[in-house]
Amino acid sequence: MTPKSFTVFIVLAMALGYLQSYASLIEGQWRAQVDLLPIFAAYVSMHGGMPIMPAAFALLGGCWLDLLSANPLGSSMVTLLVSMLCLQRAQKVMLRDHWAGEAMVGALVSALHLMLGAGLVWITRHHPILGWAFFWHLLINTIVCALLSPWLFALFKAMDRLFAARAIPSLGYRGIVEVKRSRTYRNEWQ
Amino acid sequence: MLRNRSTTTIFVVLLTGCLLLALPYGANSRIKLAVASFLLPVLALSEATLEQAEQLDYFGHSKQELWQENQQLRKELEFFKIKRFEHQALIRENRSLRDSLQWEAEQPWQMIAARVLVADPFNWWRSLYINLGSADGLVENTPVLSPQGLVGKVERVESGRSLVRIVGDPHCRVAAMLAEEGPTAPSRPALGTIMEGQQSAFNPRMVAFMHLPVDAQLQPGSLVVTSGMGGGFPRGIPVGRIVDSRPSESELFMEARVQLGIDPNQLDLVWLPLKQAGKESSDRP
Repeated sequence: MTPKSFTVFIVLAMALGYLQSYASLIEGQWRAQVDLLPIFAAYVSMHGGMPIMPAAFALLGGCWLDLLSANPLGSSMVTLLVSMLCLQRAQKVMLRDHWAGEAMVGALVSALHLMLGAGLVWITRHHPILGWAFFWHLLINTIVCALLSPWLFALFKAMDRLFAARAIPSLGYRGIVEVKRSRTYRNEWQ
Repeated sequence: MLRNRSTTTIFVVLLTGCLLLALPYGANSRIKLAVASFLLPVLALSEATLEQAEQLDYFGHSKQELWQENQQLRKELEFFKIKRFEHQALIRENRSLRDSLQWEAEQPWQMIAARVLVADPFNWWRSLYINLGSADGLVENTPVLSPQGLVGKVERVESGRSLVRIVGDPHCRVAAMLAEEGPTAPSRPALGTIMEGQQSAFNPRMVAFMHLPVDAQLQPGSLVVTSGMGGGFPRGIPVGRIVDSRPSESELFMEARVQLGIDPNQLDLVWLPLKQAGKESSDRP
């Protein structure tokens, strides 16, 4: 991931964060607000390298989420970073470029992010509304993130390719265009 | 070397987050306010972009549709203008009665309209942000209303936006009572507290009406209004209607489930009564 593509990526994440809060996504029908930011976190964790990009994402994305919600500042920052660290530790055993692996990663980070978030807010005595509805919220988010992860990962990879520097074709010796000649080439030609 | 730098960066971010969380709520809110002001241009840009996008909706309506809506609104406006004569007569009567009893005159409220910006992305809160802030004269704990009833209260005021806790959020408890309706209304209204119920997370319209006296007559469909006790909310604002009731576990009180008049998922425009000394109340934003 290049710094340029990371900048576009974080702007996209912030815009989506705002849009999903604005539209309330599917809360009306399904009683659960969908949060797609964990998919972004999963991608940064797997393709951003350590430590600057994941840390910057956790800092900016977490602050942004907390500014749009009634959460205490810092809760989303910590949960995003810890989720990304967990993924970083386990990434060697994951199917990085397979859709099933990407779906699993999206689901895992989404579930971790929500569980840690609820736990942190509860531990710090901010009295959130927890109960069976929270598990429903968790389930819906995990499923939606699992379904959307392969698609969003494909989009992010395309974006990465767009911003990555392309290799300049070599002007020197190229094996595939070598013309082999011998004394008898004319005969062979004929 | 690289590993050390990596560990340090992660540790610093993690420590920052933990320190912020460990701060008392007030201090955390103040820092949040400072960060919000730092990100204010981004927030304003997001808001402006969505406002522009909303205006595109105009192209989706036909002229006939707009004309019909306009006619309907004209009729409603005329109806409310006539209804206002009745209210003005009541206000005059109330004022003269207060004068005769030498009660302190009630200050009029000036209603200002606010647009809902974003709903909370986490479903463990019932809150939203509105587009008015301290620059518009808003103060903390201002009640937030809609034509369907009480919405909640302003908890945190920033320069250009404010956080509103909706009724049913653990941070927004409302002193309420049963509305006195009909000739059989009891002389002493049943007072209680509206708070989050067991179903509030699943159904944001369902809240609990707690600490009611055991002799309270809780009929399904009865109107619940704010009691004005504690000074948080003015008296008489409709909150919702009773669904069912039962004795509390200790059997010292009664408790009821109340369906809110508002639907938090459908809120678009809310109203805030601001106390304006010496000004007549206005229906316009």
